[in-house]
Amino acid sequence: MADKKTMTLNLSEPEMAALETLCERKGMSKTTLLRQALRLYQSMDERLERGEKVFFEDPRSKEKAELMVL
Amino acid sequence: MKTQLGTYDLQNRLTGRFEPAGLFEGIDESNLRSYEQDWKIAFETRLPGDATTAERLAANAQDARWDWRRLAEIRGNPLLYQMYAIECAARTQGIMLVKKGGSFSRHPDHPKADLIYVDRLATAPWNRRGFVGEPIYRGVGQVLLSAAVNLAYEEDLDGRIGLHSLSGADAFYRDVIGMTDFGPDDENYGMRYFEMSSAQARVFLEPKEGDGA
Repeated sequence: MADKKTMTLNLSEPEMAALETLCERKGMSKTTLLRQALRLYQSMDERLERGEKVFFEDPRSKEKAELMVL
Repeated sequence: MKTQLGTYDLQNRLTGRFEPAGLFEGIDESNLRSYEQDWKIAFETRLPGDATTAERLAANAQDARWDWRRLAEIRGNPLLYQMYAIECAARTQGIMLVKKGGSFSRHPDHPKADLIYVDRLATAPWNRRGFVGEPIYRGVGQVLLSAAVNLAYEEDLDGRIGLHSLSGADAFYRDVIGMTDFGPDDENYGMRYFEMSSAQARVFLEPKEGDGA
């Protein structure tokens, strides 16, 4: 695995609470969750840069909602 | 970047002897050249260019049209993808491409948990039953899958991996590797989806009788 670097992250209380809730629900450490979130974000950003759109689809109604990325 | 992860013994079925094989994280030009000069020529010799799906299945060569050079280009983002190669006797014996994010478990033990997705895995054509009368090396697929499971541990994903199988490899993933078969996936060309849960990963990596011979 590639060499790793350490950083300090400043989060507000609600942001930290959201991070901790997600970590608990997904059974992941904060580092793992943020690494996976970065991959997902970068993967979506690449598709959006290529002019593609990212959708969520309701499995029953098949209704699609476009995901807005900041 | 290509880094050697270790040396494994592959059994040469023709001699019965074990031979050292290097497992690498990352691939380089030598692997792509081996694919183009050894694998592709073997496929082209065995199968006509317009071979049907049934002919490719019968020859155990459903992946004959995969272009590993192109895959290395379009899935070269190191944050999201990782390639592996196994080399023995100066040839590439197997290649694997995995995706490290954005794939989630369907296993009831840990629904929606992140996992490593094995996007492509192939052993060299001369190691395949059905493609040649006497396949050479045994164990290439297992070594590559063990690399995927180890990556899933390194990434703190508790060994979980998932993949869609070409139909000719269904029995391998289900019966030899011991992955859970979730059946055909309509959203992926009807290919069967297989998953190795965290519990199955622990069993998979346990030393087996005969290992290390």
